[in-house]
Amino acid sequence: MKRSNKKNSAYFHDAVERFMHHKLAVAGMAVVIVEILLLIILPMVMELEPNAITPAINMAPDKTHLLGTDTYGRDTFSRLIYGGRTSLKIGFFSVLVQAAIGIPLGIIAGYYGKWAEVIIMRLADMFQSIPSMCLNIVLVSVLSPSAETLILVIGVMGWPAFVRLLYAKVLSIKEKEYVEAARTTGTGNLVIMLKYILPNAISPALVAFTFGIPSAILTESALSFLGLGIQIPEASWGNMLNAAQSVAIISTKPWLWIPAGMCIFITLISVNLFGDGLRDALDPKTKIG
Amino acid sequence: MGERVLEVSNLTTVFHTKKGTFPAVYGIDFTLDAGETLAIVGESGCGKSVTSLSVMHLLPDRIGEVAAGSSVKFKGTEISGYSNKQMSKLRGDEISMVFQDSLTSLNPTMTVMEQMVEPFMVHRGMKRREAEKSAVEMLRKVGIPNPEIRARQYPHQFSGGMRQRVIIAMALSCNPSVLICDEPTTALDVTIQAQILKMIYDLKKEMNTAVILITHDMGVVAETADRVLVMYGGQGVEQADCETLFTNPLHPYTQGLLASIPKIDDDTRLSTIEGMVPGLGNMPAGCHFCDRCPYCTERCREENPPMYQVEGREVRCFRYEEKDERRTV
Amino acid sequence: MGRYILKRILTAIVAFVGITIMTYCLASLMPGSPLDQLVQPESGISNAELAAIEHKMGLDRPIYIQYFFWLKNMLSGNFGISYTQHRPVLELITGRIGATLLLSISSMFLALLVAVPLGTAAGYRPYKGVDYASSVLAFVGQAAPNFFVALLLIYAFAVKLRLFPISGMYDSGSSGTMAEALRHLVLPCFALTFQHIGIFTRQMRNSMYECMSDDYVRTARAKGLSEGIVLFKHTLRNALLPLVTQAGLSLGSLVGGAIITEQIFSWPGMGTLMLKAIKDRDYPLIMGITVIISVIVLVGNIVIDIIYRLLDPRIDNKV
Repeated sequence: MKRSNKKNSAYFHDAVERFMHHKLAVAGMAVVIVEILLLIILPMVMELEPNAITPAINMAPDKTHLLGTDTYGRDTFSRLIYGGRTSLKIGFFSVLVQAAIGIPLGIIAGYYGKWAEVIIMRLADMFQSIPSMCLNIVLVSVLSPSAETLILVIGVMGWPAFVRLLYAKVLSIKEKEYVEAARTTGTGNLVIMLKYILPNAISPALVAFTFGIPSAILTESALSFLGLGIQIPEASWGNMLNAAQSVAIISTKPWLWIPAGMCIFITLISVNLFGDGLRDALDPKTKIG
Repeated sequence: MGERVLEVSNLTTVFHTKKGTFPAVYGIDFTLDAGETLAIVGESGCGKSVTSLSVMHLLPDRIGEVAAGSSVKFKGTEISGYSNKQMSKLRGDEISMVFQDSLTSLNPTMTVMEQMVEPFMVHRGMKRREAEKSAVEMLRKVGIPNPEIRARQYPHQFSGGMRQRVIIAMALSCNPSVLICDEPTTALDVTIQAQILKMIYDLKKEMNTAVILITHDMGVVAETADRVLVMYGGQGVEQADCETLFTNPLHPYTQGLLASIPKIDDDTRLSTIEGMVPGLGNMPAGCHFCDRCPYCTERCREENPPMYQVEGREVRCFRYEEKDERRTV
Repeated sequence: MGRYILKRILTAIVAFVGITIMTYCLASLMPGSPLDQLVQPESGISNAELAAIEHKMGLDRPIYIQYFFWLKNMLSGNFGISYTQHRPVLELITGRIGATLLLSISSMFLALLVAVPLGTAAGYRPYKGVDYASSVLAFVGQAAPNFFVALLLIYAFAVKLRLFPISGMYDSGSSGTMAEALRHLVLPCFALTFQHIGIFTRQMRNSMYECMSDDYVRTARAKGLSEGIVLFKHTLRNALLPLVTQAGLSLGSLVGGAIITEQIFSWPGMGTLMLKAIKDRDYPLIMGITVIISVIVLVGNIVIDIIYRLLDPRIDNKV
């Protein structure tokens, strides 16, 4: 056990080194960290009133309103910051739900094989072959839109990505000598799964988690954009873009929608770059050029 | 022996890696005459394959490069500076190559026929119909049963031995002057190995093709080669005709290689050469073999010996400096 | 091949049944009953009459029986009547399906049309200008939400440059020619496909890059084939295989994305119909559209799988 710990720490040391070599991934990580810090700190140091309706409607950006105000006179910058908190929160927690469903199912499918494998993998196939946006829309409208609903829906619809990555990993681990050895000495299945398989499944789970977040944020913002996600007055990046569904706003008040769109874009590209670096660092074999 | 078809002198190939540029082959010299079989032997990583790929201009893009000052003459013409376009006229026509892994060497998504007709169409200017006839003939020649039917199938539908026959048929399609076989039988069962080697030998005799056989298997060398070039660490260390080499190996590495062939009537322990082939980046400053050599001296560590001419053969070892014929002359 | 197609259709049927069950459960979770529309005071229907209608519609039976009724009706082409539009659901859908298919299929083709040459060039000459450009495009594409791209396109090409129309499929009051539809198609098609251009280009680049170092490529060169033949005849076909798989995986998100794109551009497809149905809580219509969209994706996946098999002879005898 001691040796394997040592091996593990060397592995993670190498992984960190490989990751740091990946300049774009480091840049992506830096952007994400700065963004999270800003979203946490800014509301503490600035007076941000995302929901305060003022008579100063449709103002272009100036000193008091950095990004202007919307049709209700609400400060766009404040809404951007609070919207970001909402979007990131939903992104994170819905992937947490995906992981909570996907990790056990992936391990069970890979470890037990046979019927468990057929049922779980077929179910994953089915979930991936249906246009999830379609069911998302139906689900959200059935359950009445809110942050909790979005977390639940994106979580329940998005687990197959975890199952796939973990299933593949478990298949390769379960043939390893130490698992065979544990099994021949009569160690119970649950103990083997928790003690031997789960620790090895951490890397693919981390990768799936990282790539899950941008796709969850994308789903959330798409639903909010359609008016089926976060409901006004609560702000989210998606529903800020919802305001731009009229040509008048698109053409004359770009400050209302371009900042929110850019925030989604920058967040997604940074997390994706970070995820790319993480995947290459954790699994050096898959590295392509 | 016949006309000189290939003359390689001072061939140096470098590899550009992330850690820097390193030579993989250091100034190799050898010649090849029509109808002759030259075996290039050595452990994996000693530069045998790189040598043949350098001759063919098939080194991996952007990674391998033949250094200036190298010379490869084909029938008296310098080809080392040929462009890719010039080389593609020679490749598959005058100089052909057979690779080790028959499954990956054939295109999985094209039928055997589609792949077989290409050399005929490209080099002989044949129309598809005519090329198909020639392809079937060639497949029959290498012992593929029902070639008309089998040719319509895909590589994965062939056994390993049959696939290797296809590859050899493809290489010999245009009756090349030089056939380079890179470990042609390594991936095959022993019985099939013998069949394939015999087939190469028979076809070579029939067509008077010169063969370069790259292998690590001394048994294969003994059965097929006329002359042998032993390589170690990217250098030629000994060159001699086959019989002389087997009866009286001079270089310590060759001696080690031959001693490690198992013999049925010998119950002494199998001898091995201790240690490993040095990697690209950490070649010793002196003789490349010095770290593993039982006769290693201070001088060996500091100075790389040249090729000495000894009794009509070549050997790269200071132990034969006294006998060097060029020195006494 | 025949056996494979049969097997593939059977698994698709299982998936179809799964989807219908999910859809039905979802619809039955929706607040309100299908009879709510009828139970308005002004309709003047008595409780007894209501019970009779309930019985006739099978609403007094257990839910799984109701599901089978619904499935049976649907398979015979009866998707029910839209609550709000008072017309058969199937009729409403068939009126819209062509626009959605046009948008989805043209987007898929546009993505492939850009990704195949660009990815091939990038993978053939890695770490050069084209490769870096394709990487940038890939990362930008993957991170750009299609609705944001759509708004930017409207801003740039419709509002500022006035090159393309903003919404609809035909100009208002026009009889509608094909050319007109195509001009209206440009922006939604590009908005929908932008993300997939990125994903496909990256996939094509990576598989091309890997294929270029495959042994059979070396064999082809050793035969004396020209670089053009090596690239287009030997490498490209193998490099396309992973892209076909990727196209299958992206089909669902493409059709799903069409819902949003249609909404932004007022494209008269199933997406706009769906969102309207959601707003109106028009259950039969919502269920019908969900099922039909799923069928489109399932069929599309079968088609893509068959294409894959036609390109790769190896799998045929593994089934």
